Amino acid sequence: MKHAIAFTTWWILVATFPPSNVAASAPEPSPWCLPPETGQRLRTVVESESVHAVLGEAFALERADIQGAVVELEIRSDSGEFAKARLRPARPGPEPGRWFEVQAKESSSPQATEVMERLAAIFNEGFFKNPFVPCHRAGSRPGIPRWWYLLSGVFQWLLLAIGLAAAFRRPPLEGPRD
Amino acid sequence: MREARGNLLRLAWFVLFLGLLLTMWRRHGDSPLLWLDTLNDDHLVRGCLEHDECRTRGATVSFGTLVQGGSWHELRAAVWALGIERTGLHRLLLILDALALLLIAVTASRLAGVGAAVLAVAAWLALDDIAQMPGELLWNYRPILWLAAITTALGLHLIRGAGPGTAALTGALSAVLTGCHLLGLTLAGPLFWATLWSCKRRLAGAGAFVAAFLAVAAASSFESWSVNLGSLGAIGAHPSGASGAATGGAMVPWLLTALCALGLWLGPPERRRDFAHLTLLAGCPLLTVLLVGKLSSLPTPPTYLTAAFPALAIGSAAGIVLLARRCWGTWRRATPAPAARAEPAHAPAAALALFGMVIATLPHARTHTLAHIPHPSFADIAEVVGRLRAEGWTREELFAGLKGPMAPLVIEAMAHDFPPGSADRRRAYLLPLVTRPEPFPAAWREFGHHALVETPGVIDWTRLQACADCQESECREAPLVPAPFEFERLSTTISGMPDIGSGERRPFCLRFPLDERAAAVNGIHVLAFPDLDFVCQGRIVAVPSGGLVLDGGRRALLLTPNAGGELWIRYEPGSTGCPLESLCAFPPFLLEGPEPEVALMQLALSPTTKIGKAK
Repeated sequence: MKHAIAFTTWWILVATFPPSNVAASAPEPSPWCLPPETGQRLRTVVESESVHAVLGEAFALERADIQGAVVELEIRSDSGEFAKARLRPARPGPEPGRWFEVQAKESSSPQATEVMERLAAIFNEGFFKNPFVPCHRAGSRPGIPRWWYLLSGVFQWLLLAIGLAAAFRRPPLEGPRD
Repeated sequence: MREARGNLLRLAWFVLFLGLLLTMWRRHGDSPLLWLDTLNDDHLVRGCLEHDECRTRGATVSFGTLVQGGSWHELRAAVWALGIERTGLHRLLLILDALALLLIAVTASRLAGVGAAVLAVAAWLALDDIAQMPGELLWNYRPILWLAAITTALGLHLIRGAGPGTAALTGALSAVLTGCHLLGLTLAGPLFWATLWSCKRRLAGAGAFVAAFLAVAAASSFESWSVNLGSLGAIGAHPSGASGAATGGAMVPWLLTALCALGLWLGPPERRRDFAHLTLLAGCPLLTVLLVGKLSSLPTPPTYLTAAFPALAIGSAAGIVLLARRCWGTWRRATPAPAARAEPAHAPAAALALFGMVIATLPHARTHTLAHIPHPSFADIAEVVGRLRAEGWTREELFAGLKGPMAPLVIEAMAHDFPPGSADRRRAYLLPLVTRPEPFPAAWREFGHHALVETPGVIDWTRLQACADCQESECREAPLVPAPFEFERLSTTISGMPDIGSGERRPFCLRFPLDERAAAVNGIHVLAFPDLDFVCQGRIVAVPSGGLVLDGGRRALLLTPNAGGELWIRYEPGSTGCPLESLCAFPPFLLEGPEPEVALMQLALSPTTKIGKAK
């Protein structure tokens, strides 16, 4: 059991200190890119019944373009009411259910704003998987260093071996056998 | 005498272990089956080892709001780096499966004797069957099979007063289990409670448990925790499948929990804490899964209860044995103290060894099939790789020329073993032998329950186009080439194909130019859709001049030699004959070749005689 304590203590040290060092020396997070598949999916979402239901009779989708990693939306009504929004990758990173965040809004009325917000929400739900891919620069892959990943795997195998051996040992303070 | 008795018992446990190992080998096979989740995991492991993208998170869970931890991939990466790939790891896991079952038996015997050991193993195997938790697959459910048994046994150590060292070890292993699959969290709570309740030096023990859990979780699955804590509010935003109650056999775990609780009532006083803890370890995962399912409208298949199986098996087996003893005592109008009852020296050893031998020889129905279609194992795939490589196939040829109902998965599994090169236009089908043609064609080669059939084709898959709404103006090139690496996206994902998994329902067409070299082929060339449930059935809507469309577009005849031309096939995702889940097998499978060859291939795929139940 002393070995288990020693291992755990060592692991706490490893887990506590290197991440801050890694974080301090890591380059800025990679920007996100929208691959061509997203364009196709975007078109499907735009033409979906959910979008038509949100727009209703009053509004029509005037524009839905991909500019770099940003989706630009514009809705407009017959009476001239409009709203514009730019959807960019959510920060700190796109997550399931929250892929996009609204970056800039311009609107002629509260009603148009509300419709645009509901429209933006559909985009967050309309992608099963992350619509963005990281635009990697050399040496700026997300995640942890490979040595750490492998060491973590080795350590967990060791933990499992120690755990298995410990589990087979007779429990302490065991009473008389039945 | 006492030493001889001890040796005899140890020998019996060893025989039981061998029996369990053989049982696991027969149930789970000696090589894992080809499976999408395995390939996804491979992809993430390769992401680290080959692309330096080492993320402390796993794949997105099926319902799309949470992500798995990184432990399973880190465990896989560590052995992969040592040269142990899928089949080697699977064999290692078979040993761990057997050891875990032995641990369940040993733990149960400590509670209520050898009878409980035998019953516990039987109960675990039955639960495993009910949950349809195939250990034949290499996926992140796999470690739960043995890791839950280890943590449950350690939990019993804690309840009997083990110290902070055991608490730290249990906390660390709980984090590993949770990092492999989020279901592990359902055990972490009761294990922490056991530490707080009974650990020697309670506060130190609880502190060690929490510190070890957090340290291992942070080091192995930091990104996953960060994403999951941030998206807790979104659970249930993507409901899928049946919500609420579990499917068939759901009452069995509750019944076993009740039997487990019997021990609380019937067990000797010094064992009651053990039974209380086992009831907690069994009940907590059941209740958690049920409640989360109800509250968030998420599906709760029995697979989600796997973490509770060791506690259910141990507790219910010991409960049954104690109940039987009580009944026996009542019947005899006397209940002698169990410790006072003399057991024959050889009886427990004989019972264990006999059980080990019996269980190893019992017939086990290996599924090895999917919807009655034989499923290839990775060992089968390795044999096919050997054959194709010997014939000089390149990676580009593989993507364009290997066909079959599971071709995208097969290609993904083997692509890394082929060198890059030119795309010569050879064609080969890897067909599941639902019915084995007799006599077996001499030109076909058999691999497990599959046949490799090489036959000439006239479709040029290298110039395939996908056309939205079947509009010519909407056509885009969809080259069947490896895509650049993307985290969580298989390399066989074809650019321009319908967006898999997103519920794409718009009809579209695939446009196939015919190969100019097809002019060299003489005779009638047949195109046909096989009658398989999980293959999206398209409809041939246009053929080159001189061709003929039959059976409402399910079959076409082309006359060769021909002067080129195009073939159009229309697909309606979500319609009858093209369920959305079959989209994961895009580009879809269709048979093509000289008429007699196609007829033979259709015969092999037809479910006249179902085979593949046992291998």
